[in-house]
Amino acid sequence: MRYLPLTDAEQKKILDACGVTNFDGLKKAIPEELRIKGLLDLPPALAESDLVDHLESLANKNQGAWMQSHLGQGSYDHSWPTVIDQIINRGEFLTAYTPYQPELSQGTLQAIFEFQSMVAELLGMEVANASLYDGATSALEAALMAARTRPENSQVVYVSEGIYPSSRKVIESCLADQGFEVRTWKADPKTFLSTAATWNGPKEERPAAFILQSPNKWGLVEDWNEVKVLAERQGARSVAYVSHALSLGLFQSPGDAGVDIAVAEGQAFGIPVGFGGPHLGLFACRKADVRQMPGRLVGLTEDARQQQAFCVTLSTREQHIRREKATSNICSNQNLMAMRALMYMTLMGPVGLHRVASDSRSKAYYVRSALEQRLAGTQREIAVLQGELFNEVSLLVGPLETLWLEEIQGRAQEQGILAGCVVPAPANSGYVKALTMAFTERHKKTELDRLVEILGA
Amino acid sequence: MWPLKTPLSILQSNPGHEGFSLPKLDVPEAPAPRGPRVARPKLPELSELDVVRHFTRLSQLNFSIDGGMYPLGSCTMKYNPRVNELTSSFRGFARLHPHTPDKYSQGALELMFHLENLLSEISGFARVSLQPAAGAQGEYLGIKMMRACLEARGEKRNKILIPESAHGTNGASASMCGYTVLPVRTNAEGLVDFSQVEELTRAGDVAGIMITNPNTVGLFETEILKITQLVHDRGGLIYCDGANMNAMLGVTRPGDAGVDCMHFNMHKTFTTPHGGGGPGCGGLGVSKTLIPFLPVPTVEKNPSGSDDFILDNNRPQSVGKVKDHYGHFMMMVRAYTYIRELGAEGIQKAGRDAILLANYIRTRLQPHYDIAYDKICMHEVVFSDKRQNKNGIKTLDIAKRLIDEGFHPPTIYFPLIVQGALMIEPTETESLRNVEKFCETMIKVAEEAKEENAFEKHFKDRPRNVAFGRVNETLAAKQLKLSWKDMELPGKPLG
Repeated sequence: MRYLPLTDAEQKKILDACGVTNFDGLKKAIPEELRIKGLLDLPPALAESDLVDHLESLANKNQGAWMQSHLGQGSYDHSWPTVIDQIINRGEFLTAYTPYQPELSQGTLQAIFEFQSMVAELLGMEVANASLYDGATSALEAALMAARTRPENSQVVYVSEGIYPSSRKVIESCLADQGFEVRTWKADPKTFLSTAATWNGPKEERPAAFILQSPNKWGLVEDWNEVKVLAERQGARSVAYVSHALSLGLFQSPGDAGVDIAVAEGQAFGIPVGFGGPHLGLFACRKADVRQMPGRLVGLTEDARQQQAFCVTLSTREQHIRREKATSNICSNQNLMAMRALMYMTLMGPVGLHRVASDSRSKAYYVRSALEQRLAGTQREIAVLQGELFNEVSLLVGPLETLWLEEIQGRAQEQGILAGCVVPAPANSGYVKALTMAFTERHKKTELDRLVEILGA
Repeated sequence: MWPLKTPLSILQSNPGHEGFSLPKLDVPEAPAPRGPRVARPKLPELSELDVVRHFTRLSQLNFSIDGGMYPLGSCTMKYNPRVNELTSSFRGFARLHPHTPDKYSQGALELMFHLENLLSEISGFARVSLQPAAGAQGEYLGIKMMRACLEARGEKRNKILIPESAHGTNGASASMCGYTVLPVRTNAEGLVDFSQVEELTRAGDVAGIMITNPNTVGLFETEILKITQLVHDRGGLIYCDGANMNAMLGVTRPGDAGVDCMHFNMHKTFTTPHGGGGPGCGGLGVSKTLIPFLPVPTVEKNPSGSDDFILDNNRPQSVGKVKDHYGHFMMMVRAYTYIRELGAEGIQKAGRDAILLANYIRTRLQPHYDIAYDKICMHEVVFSDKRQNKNGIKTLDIAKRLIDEGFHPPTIYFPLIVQGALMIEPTETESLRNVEKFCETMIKVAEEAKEENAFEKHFKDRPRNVAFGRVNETLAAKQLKLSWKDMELPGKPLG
């Protein structure tokens, strides 16, 4: 077998060297009743060509990957320079171990250092780590870090109403184990934004953190100053959760507003949507808090020959040293994804990032304006959400139109279009659901017109 | 000097250069946003070739499986097949959005359904959740489900047993779930001290045990059945750390030993790329007892009887979600590709050959190094630097010496219970010839360590033959320069 080189003769040689006559001789430590007799019940081995055909036929059953798609909610089908796919497959990146032996890992280490630098720059923060699993788990880790870095012991975390339902579920499921309660920071039913004024908790409350997601699940850009101001007022930590890293190419960075912790979903930086993963969590904070930060960090140093060099640093926060007292149980970073994002940022540069962000936004803006025109003067409970958008547009429907919403999605699918995702609208907004439609630089005007045609019919 | 180094990309920036090709905007440009970025981010501007060269040169500074043998114990650095990279890059997988309606993502659901079944068969568990993003998250999910199960029985237990030889993640995951950790001794045989487990579980307040099998000294926990029986009898549950699953492939199944849940490390056992530290892919096998608590969604055959697959979110006792969407799907494609290539015979050969090669190393090196526990091992073997230390040569010296001979060092100073541990795991994908060469090198180093002035003669200033000498880790922690904003870059004020 091509991956399993030992021949029968070599196996025999090893058995002889070990002083046993057959493989059973090496299984003595395994209780008799636990030894597998014979073979497992698995499908037969496939030759490479059959294997590739089989996987291709499975891939081809996923029609969604070829449809005109406006699915978003945190995962976006942006394009990326194909050279990323070529470089990432270099064995020196693909098959290297975690860089614990720095003399043998300077490539990965310098890359992580550059990644940390660019992420810190984009988020406007002092320090970024080598990445976490994704945006949702980064927001979760931010809540835990907030609780650690706050003098007062509080078990309450507020998340903005505009956070993705699945991110909220992750945060809630995991914080519950440590006795935390997750509460909703309401959005204004008119603007769909969470502001210091829309928070309706008790005035004397001192929560551990406020987490604000922007762009929010309805596609609107929130104001980071609101989370900063509110958190400061209530003695909590402010956490900015950037749901779409490309929005950083266009909008104010969380660091500019002075938040305590900034996290982001970095999938849009050259990482395929890939049915949900692996994606990329970006995590940044103030330098003063770096010892409470989760995840791997790479620092600048030098080697014995006085050359500039890099190594993993502050590992004393991590599980392999601190064990149950570690800042997090995480022991990987999303390294290949961080490398993809790094290559993406390096290739795009400030100009390219701005262009992708701006073009994606223009496409969304175009569709929103077109739908507005179509819906002008309608008596039905259907409206286009107004406000500062990035690349996602919400079509709001009232209780009488939910059936229509299902029908229209079905009609779009018949024409090969995935029109968008459906999320709940804020309470008291007069609407019950929002169809959120995402746009990227990939979409052509003709595709946008078809979508408008179907929805506006 | 070869290989060539490359300055930080920001220092190579040429304003006006670009490495992208974007379609012309075919709709009117939107009006400028309110609340824009104050200043464009300071990122490099480079042409595609400059970027390719930068990363190619960086790559050449890395050791890798493709470049040489990585005998890292507990890391299972086996070959990462390239066909996995091809299959996972198919558009039908890569460009499939996680919110795609079930009827348009049938191939992905089918793959997940089958992968779950393959893993269940290999490990002996009733079901497998593919949601955990990595092994550590699998551990966390497992403990979370154990806790949910105990709570459903109306029990609040707050202690968990963890052997002192365990991986650091075990304790970290348990404490993330709110448990207090009680360490369990390793006995003279290198195994979990059964009498202490008996003693600690007597009060009936222990939620369970996290056991690593084979354990971190490479030994099969011979008393595993006694342990699982005892913990179950006393109302607890059993977690198994699956880091060492490679040794069990086709040889034995943790699910048959009474274990309630075990995480998989797909990058170890099932060849998803190590990638310089991630991304991982977890997976968690569970016994019947824990099925009601699986995270949502699960993949099921359509209950209506048609032959399609659905995502099931309707699981009232579920612990919720630990990871957005379904987990690291693109890694699942790779793991599935690997298992389908091997089939039952290949899976068994993988497990057996891993054990054979580790035992070969054991017999070859035992005359030269002190072995931690003198008995047949599973997929890895642990030595100590006791003998060399008498002449002033420590494990770290041996590790750095090996680099100059073209080998990545073994795992060092772990497990903590062995003095100056050198933990060696060859994996089944290495040829006997490579393993032989590694042994000869280890023996040569052991001989050097015996000489008078051994340190000065052979070990000082290692590594000498690679692009970088010993890296000053203390300085890094002291100066804490964590981004280029913290550096004084020539001629380019930044940050």
